[in-house]
Parts: sequence; structure tokens; C-alpha cells
Amino acid sequence: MDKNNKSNILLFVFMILGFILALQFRSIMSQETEEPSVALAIEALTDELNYEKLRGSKLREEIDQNIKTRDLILREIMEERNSGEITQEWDKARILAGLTEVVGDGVIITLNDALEDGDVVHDFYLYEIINEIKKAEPVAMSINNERIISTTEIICAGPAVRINRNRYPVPYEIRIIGDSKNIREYFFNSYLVSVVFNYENIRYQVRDAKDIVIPKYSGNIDVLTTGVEVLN
Amino acid sequence: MRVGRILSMTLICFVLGTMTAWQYKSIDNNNRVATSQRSNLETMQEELIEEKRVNENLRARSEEVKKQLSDYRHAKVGMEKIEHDIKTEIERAQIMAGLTDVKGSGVIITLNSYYKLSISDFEENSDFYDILMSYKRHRQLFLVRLINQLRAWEAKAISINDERIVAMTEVNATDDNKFIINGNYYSEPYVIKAIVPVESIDYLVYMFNEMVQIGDMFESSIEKQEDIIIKKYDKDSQLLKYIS
Repeated sequence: MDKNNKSNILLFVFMILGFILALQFRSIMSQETEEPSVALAIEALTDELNYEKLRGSKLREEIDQNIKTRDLILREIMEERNSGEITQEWDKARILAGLTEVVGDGVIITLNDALEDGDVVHDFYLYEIINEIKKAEPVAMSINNERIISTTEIICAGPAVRINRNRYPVPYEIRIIGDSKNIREYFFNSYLVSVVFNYENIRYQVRDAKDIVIPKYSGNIDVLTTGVEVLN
Repeated sequence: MRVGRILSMTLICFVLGTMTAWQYKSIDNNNRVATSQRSNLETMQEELIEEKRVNENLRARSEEVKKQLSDYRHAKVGMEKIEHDIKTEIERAQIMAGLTDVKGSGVIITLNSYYKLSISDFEENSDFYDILMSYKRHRQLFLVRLINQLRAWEAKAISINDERIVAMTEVNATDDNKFIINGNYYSEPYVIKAIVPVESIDYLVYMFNEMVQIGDMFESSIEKQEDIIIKKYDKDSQLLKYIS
């Protein structure tokens, strides 16, 4: 090996070393400038999100309480005027619309994403399984304490699912009041559970429960009824 | 001496190769972490905007209820107004429960199956049986998805062949190419009526094909109409029996 060759090899080696050093320097610099700002932004957003969630739940509580008091006043007025029939009609409609909390025996089903190899719980898994359970003629249902009513949508919202305009991540707890034997039968015999969930390693848990509390629908009902005219 | 040189050059190249590989791995990892953090940040920003929007609506609703409550408490409103408010509350609950016929603007969707496959024509465990079971499931899922999508478009009331869709309405595809809805059998054509917000109708019609991913299961048509009448649910509800 002559001297010229040796120099060429050394030149090549140092070029690569220089290139690696430059890359490393760039990578560390960009990481150092980006990481703290992103981490800080995430921290600030988490705080803000928690604050908004707390504010939302306080507002919901306040609205619920005021509606309860308002309805009580209206009921008293109706009773004073001997409008028992109207009160009954109102009560029936409220119960059927999902505007009252209900308690009863039934089943609690929990769905969760696969641990490693498998799928996540998609919106279409949720609405398919809800439909399968409805075949068992349940009395009332909720997903993560969100009451299933006639207008309830179950839609993908990024890593979460939107139910009654609120977003929920996994796990999904489906509470069902009804005949537990029937509900179990429809759940386990459905193609979704017996084939898809088992193939995709979707984790599910089914347990019978007594005195299940299914909350009332807590959204704004004005939005659900505007633009609709009652005919009879 | 020459062998030594070759060996040392080999060692240097080996070390350089390993370093390069590590380097690329490290940069790739850094990029992945940064990308995941950025996407996390974007998701959180979206969630925050949504949360603020929801809270703004809640605040407005809270003010409205407070005002109503104050008016009733301090007898600021007359009996006529109170009666009107009670009637409105009952009507709202009845609309949601499906206890009353309703009218409004919306869309009428008509569906007809391309194929008329009947599972009862085939023997169990035959080659076609699994295919037909899958066909049945997909027909059912199609209708469930369509109803869900209409709800996402803020449909206030929906019916299929004049059977009102209420909270516990099931959609059950049968072996003989029909559907059971609220315990009643329905065959084709399936006419779906939905009252939706006026401002959404045009876009819904435009997006219809993409929205329902019709594929080759149903032949479909959609039309908008101003005065759609959706009939009430006229059965005794399980829930009411349960409560009483």
C-alpha cells in the first residue's frame, strides 16, 4: 500500500466520521430545542383540558339541579290545577325518552383494545354489538355512563369514540338492564364476538350485576328536537 | 506488516459501519418520538377545542334554565306561559321517545337488494352456507351503519318502512332476505325517512354514497323533502313495564 492510497483511505474514513458527527449534532440540537417546547405545550394543554372537563361537569351538575327544581315547580303547579293526566303523560314520555335515571338487574360488558397483536375497539364494533344486544330486548343501556337514546350516534373521533357528542376512550363499559340470560346469549352467539373479537384479540368481560344504575341523558334536548313539528 | 494494516483497516471499517448503523437507528428513534409527541399534541388541541365548544353550549343552556327557574319562582310569568312551557317539555320528551307523529325537513332513502339470497334455500354446512351467513351479517351491518350515520348527521327522527327507530330498536337481518325491526318483519323496498337539520340536507345528499359505503349490496336512491311525516312508535315499551 503506497502513501497515496493510505491518505485516500484516511480521507474517506474521516469524511464518514465528519458526516456522522454532523448528523448526530443536528439530531441532538433539534431534539433539545423541540423536546422541551413540545413537553411544555403538552403539559399546558393537559392542565387546560382538565380545567375544561371540570368546568363541564360542574355546569352539567348545575343544569341537572336547576332542571330538577324547575320540573318540581311545574309539577306542583300542575297538581294545584288537578292536571294529573298531564303529569302522567309527562312522566311516561320522560322515562321512555331516557330523561330519567333507571335502576335494575342486568349485565355489564367491558370492551378493551387488544394488548399486543390485534385490533382496537372501533366505533363499528361498538354499534354492531349494541345492535346485537338490542335483539335481547333490553330495557335500557349506557356506554361509559352515556345513555343510549333514539338519537345516540357512535362515531370514530381519532383515538376515542364520540357518543352523544362526548368523546370516550377505551375501555368501554356497556351497562344493560334486562334479562341477563338473553343478553349473554345474543352477545356470545354474535359473529362479532365469536369470530371477530376472538380473532382480533379484543378483550371483553361479561358479568351479571344487580341494581345497575343507568344515568339519564345529560345532553341538551333542545338541539335534538328543534326543527321537528309534533302532529298529534 | 501488510497483514496488520489490512486488519486495522478492516477493524476501522467495521467500527465505522456499526457507528453508522447506530446513528441511523438513533435518528430514526428520535424522529419517531418527535412525531408521536406532535400527533399527541394535535389530538389534545382538537380535544380542547371540542371541550370548549361543548362547555360554551352548556353555559348557554345553564343561563337559560336559570332564567326559567327564576321566572317561575318569582311568578314573573303568567299561567298561560307556564302551560305553554309544560306542553313544550312534554312534546320534546315525546319526540325523543318516539311517542308522537312528527313532521319536518329531511331525506328519504330507498334501498333494494341487488341479490335476493335466501339462507333457507341452502343446507347448513354446505359450501355456500358461510358465504350466505356473511352476506346476512353485512346486510344487517349496512343498515345499522346507515342509521348510525344519520344520527351522526343529527337526525331527530328516523323510520324504516314507517317503523319508528327508538332507543332500543334492533335491526335484525333474517334468513329469508328480510329485516326484523321493533319485532316486525319488513321486506323490500326499504324506505328510510329521516328528519335532519335543514342546513345539513344538501351536504348529506351529496355525501350519501361515500357515507354509507354502499358497495354492491343495495341499489339506493336519496331525495330531499320538506314535509316528511314520521309515524310514532305504537307498542308498549319494555321500559315502561319494567318501571311500573
